[in-house]
Amino acid sequence: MAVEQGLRARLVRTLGFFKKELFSVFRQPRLVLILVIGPFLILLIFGLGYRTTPPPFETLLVLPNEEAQLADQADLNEAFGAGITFEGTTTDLDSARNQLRNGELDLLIVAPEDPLSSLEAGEKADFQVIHGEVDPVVRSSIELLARLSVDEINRRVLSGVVTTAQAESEDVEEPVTALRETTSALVAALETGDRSGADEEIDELRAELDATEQRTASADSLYRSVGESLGFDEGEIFGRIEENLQAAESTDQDEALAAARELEKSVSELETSLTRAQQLDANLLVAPFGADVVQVNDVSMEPGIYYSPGTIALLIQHLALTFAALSLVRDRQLGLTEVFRASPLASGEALTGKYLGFGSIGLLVAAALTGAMLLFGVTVRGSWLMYAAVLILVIVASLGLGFVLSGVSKTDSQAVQYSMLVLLVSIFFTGFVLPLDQLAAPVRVISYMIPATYGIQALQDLVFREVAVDPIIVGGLAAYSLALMAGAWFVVRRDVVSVRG
Amino acid sequence: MHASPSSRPVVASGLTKDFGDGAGVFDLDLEIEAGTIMGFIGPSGSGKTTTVRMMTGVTAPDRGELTVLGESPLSFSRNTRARIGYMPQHAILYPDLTLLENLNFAASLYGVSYKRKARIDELVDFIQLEGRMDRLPREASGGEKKRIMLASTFFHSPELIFLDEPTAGIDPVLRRRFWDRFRELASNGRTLLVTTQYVGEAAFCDYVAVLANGEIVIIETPEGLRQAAYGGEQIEVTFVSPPSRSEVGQLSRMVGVEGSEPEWVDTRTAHLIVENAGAASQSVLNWAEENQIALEKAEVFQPEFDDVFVALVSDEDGERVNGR
Repeated sequence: MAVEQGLRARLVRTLGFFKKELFSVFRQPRLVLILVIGPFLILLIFGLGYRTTPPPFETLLVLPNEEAQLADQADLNEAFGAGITFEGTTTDLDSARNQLRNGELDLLIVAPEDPLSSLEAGEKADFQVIHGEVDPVVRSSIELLARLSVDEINRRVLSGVVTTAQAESEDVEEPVTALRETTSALVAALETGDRSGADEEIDELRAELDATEQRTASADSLYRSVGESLGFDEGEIFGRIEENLQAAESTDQDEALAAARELEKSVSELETSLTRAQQLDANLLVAPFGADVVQVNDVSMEPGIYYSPGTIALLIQHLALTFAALSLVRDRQLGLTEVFRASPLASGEALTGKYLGFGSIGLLVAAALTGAMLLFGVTVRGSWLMYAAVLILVIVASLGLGFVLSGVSKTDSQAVQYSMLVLLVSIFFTGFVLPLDQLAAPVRVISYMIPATYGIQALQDLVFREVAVDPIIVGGLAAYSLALMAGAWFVVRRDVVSVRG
Repeated sequence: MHASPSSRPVVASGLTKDFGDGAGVFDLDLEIEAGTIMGFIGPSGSGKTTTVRMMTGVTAPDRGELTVLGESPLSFSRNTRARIGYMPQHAILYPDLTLLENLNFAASLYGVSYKRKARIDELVDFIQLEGRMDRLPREASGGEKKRIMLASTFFHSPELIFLDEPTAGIDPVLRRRFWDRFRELASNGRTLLVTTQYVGEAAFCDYVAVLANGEIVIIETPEGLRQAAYGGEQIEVTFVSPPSRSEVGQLSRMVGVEGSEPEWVDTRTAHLIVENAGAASQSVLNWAEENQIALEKAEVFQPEFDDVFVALVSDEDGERVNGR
């Protein structure tokens, strides 16, 4: 009976705190609005207003002289794509630099002075990209854009070379046809045992082979490199033809005939190979591989959509943490700790009541935010149960962190400052904006001290990837929640229930 | 002396809490009998609140021994805490809860079951706030908040009650009602320790401890305080017209009055300190009758406790005693 009464009294005390915290929050609708709607609106406006691609860089091409036109402006615009808007060309580098300094231009692309000389000297002819940007993200974009642009120029130059080579290789058709006909004649001579006729054909073949090799010389290196990439080797065929010719000179009738027949096949192979090379698209030859990016899910990755799970985790954390931090500080500031210390209240009862009260409010807000996310057309692809579990864990961990922070806050304004500091840290260190992988490993320790880090990773998996959440993430968050709970219990026991010296 | 906790709920010996610069409580010896009201009277800063805080386990003493309900307040069991009621000096209420919700929360702290309506009605009637419990604390006066605190303290029917200035800011009529309630509780076996700055409230206490500068000047019954303050009981003698020098001399030499130098309030009225006020006043009446002296009255005089308090805490030069 006494035990039952004791348990009932504990329950009454716990529920007393639960109701008290609920009433306290609901009596301050403006506070809830500021804490939830405020950051939500900020993030919503950011999501709607943020462009994933930066505006094109206004660019001037600086040429060494008037004659050095690479292409007309429209062609250059097409070559460099949407990242760059060409404002024209100039030969006055100093004036262009001034325009860049004055902010009239974003980029200068300076063409190499004498590319041919550089190439002859075995050096690359570098385009110089000049900018005045200080933002490291934009600078990275410029560096990437510069590489892509030069690649595009290289491709265009190569494409021109290949087209020329193809045109030249059309002259090969005639000697190759002759080569084929003479080879057939050689086979016929050997089949009839006409050794002297065969020798004449071999001499003629040698002359025709030289002529063919000379005709293909200009395009030879191209064919060699491109051909190897595509799986055939013209140089190797010429080598084989040479070997077959030598073997066909054998005095052994059968051996010479077999070599002649092999020669016939090699010539036919050469003819096929050259025909294929002529027919290939020059653009394909210089850039044979493309990239087809396929997304395994069909979620639109507009910023507003992408940031929605992270926003929920962040807002829930901010709300729970602020309520928890303010609650204990307010108890102290009001002087209620004096009443608590004199009463039979235990730390665990006060703490459980506060967890339940603020946890319920956190869940209500999480449900509302999830509803808003669904209205935006974003659905949870993974398990709803796991989604709820992750939100609960984020709330519990955030409350714990808030209670711990209240232990070092003397006033409610200090508690709010700490709460805002955690929000700021969360934006940079949780993977909300910048990927976690880009943080150095020691710095990531800070990330994993923030509950939203776990929440954002888990919620993004559940919402977008339709994969099971990494158990290390959920387990880590659960363990961290327990650790923070222990810290919160210590703070409540020290500040609220224990006797003061 | 080792009194049982039931007969002496509070026993303190050499109790000291030193905040430095003369502030605190020093070498406090005290026993409170069960079923009595112990009044703690003293000016602001005299150590009343610190004493109460040590007794409720809110503050730890630096030295001395203290047992409350048989336990040290530093290691109160939950059951013991549940037997104690404590009303802090200042009204401490959650600003976002109504007065009723605050009262309910206080009840919850002591694990009072949810079948509380009758108890709430009774207490709200006592503090005279019927129909006004749905207001937030910011809409209530300081006195009303105090009343909520008092009701919160009584909610769980504690057997030992510490009330730190419960009547401060309360109107005289309600103050009297409070003291009636305190007396009723004491007569029902509850023990109360009540601090107050209203010296006149000493009259409602069974015992009064006068504190000054962190030390107990005296612990006495209210009547005992008066005697201690003036060295005996007092009578007030009022002549119809200003007495002659010889009449004053005769009065001073009377049996039962001798040795007391009359203190003249005005030209016709004098206060005399006597051993037995009843007998002395009768003697004066007899003397006047025998000597045909026109007396308006001669009766027992009970000085105001404010005067008693001033007399107790001041030395002959009018300086406070125990000055640190």
